[in-house]
Amino acid sequence: MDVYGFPAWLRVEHWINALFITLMVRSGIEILATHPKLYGRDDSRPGSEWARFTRKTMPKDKLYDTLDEEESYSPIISLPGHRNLGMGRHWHFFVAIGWVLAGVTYVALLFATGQWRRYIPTSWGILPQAWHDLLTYLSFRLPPHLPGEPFDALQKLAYALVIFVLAPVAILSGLAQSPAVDARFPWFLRLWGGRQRVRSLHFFVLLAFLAFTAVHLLMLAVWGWGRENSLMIFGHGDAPVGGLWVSLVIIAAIIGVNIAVTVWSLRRPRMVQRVLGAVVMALRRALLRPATSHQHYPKAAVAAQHRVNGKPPDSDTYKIMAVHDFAPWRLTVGGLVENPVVLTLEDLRALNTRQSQCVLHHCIQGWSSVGEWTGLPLRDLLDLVRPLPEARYICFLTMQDNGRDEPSAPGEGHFYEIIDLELAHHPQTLLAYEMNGEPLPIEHGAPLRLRLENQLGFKMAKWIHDIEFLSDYRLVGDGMGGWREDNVHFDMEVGI
Amino acid sequence: MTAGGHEIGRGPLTTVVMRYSGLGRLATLLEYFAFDLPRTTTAAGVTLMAGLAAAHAYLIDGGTADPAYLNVYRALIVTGSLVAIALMSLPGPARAGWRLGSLVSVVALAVYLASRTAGLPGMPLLAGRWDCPLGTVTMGVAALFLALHGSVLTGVNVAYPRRRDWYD
Repeated sequence: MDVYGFPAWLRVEHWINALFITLMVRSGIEILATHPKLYGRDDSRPGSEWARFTRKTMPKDKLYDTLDEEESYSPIISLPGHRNLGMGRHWHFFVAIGWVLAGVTYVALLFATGQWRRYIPTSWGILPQAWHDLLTYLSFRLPPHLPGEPFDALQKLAYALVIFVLAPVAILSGLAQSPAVDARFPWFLRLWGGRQRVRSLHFFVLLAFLAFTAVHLLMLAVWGWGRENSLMIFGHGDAPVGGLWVSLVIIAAIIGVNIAVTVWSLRRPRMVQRVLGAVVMALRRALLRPATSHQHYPKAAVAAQHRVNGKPPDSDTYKIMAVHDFAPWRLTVGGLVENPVVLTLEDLRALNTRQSQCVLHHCIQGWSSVGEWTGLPLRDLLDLVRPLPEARYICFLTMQDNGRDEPSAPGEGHFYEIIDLELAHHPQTLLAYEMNGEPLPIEHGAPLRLRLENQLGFKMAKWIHDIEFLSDYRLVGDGMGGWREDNVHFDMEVGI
Repeated sequence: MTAGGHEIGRGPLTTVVMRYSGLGRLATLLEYFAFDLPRTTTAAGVTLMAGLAAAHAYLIDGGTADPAYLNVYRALIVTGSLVAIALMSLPGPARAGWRLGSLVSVVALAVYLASRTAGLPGMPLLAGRWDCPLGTVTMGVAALFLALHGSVLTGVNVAYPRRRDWYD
């Protein structure tokens, strides 16, 4: 068996990988655009970022939120561009699943066929050889290949690093940004230095892939584009002209696929949401839903300034309630329950179960913050109202009218979010009425907000006034499971 | 013009030049990038200068028959690099240090390119000899320093002792 050859599976994997990398990079840039700032600390304190990729500056004299900070990048560099976080996430995760499957298959075949020898050095002697090769490149000459192998020593080390270090770091640093993973295994996040450091690391991984691709293409040109592509297309280097032309066709096809999915995402976002979401959400449910939050951050970790996403209700009714410390506010709990109730804030506080949790908040945009939340565990409210057997979902209706309150939001209507009843039973699922030991601030959802510690922040509805138990959510709003799902095409299940 | 927290100042002449040269679009692109890593930036600049100094110090009187003026030139580059490092590391004259670093880099780059294209007095055989790893490193280090200083001048980076005054 030729363990240094170019068998069909290796060639197919190479070109699939090339396509996946382009889609991953572009959709990753779309995700970055939604909060184009990178931090070293988990509180994401405004102004503390070490890098920003935006021309925007925020006003000093009025309330702004992180929606105002979103950037709109060109579709040339981002998928699909034009400020479409929902679409960017769908593509990033959908392709990530394919990329991981392809990668696992590739590595399995490498070891099954003995091809691993082409990448993994078996002697320390490769290090001085690689140094010698580097000096040769710096002399603008080409070093010899290792005896009988397709690469020189430096190339062999570079490929080994990309396949066995960079790719796993990309996957693991992506996973470490999942609220479900971090909530269930806080030690895993600490391993990476924290939520914002791992986000920055994920960004460096992106840069590393771009740098590798640039050098890879340069090396192809230097070593002979036609011959090298002949090897990777036909499995032999005897057809450099064919290699040249077919490689150009393949590159054009990769660009074509990128253009097609971009146009599809911009013109038919709902279809993309349904098609890709079906795959991604099923996997999320299976892998991340069982993750129960076990977070107990020290109070010293509480952020001095917790960022805000979404503006408070700008109605006279709400303002009058706020002036009176929300004494006139009522929480209606109804729908498919045996015991519908109407509760005041005092009623909620008077219920015996009062729970506090110091936890890391994960915004879908990428920023994070630690806060202490106190309130009523949702499962205790369930005990009070007793959902009927057919109840499967809970809808949280809020007092925020996006058309009135949130000019940055692409849509109108009252904000609502729907969760599975199953999530209500998680021990750290909370109806919070206090934050950091004080009554819940207005900008953070006063008088009542939801806390779902294994989901992203947008699911945690603020300014709640009505809770409805449902058998199906498809008749609510546009039927996608929440205001953001309806209007900006986010997924309903957001454990990552 | 405000950028991501940094400003790129433009006079009338600069505005005209940028508009008709296409540099304006490049400047607009650069406004999307801003870093607040002053110590890292300065450390990178110092490292590059140290690399330039080391490369030239290594070649001083290395037992070769190089003309004397070449060793004087190398000593000047080493001295200039070391002075630039010292200035860049001090809060007061840091800006002068970066300018000196760029001057040294431009000279080193120009002399190396001249030596490999036209040749140098007394050393005509250098023309066309690009197969010198140390020379390639010297070119790369000098070019990187110029790029880094350019990023500081355009506001993409800030260097010690400056910091961003980002509030948002």
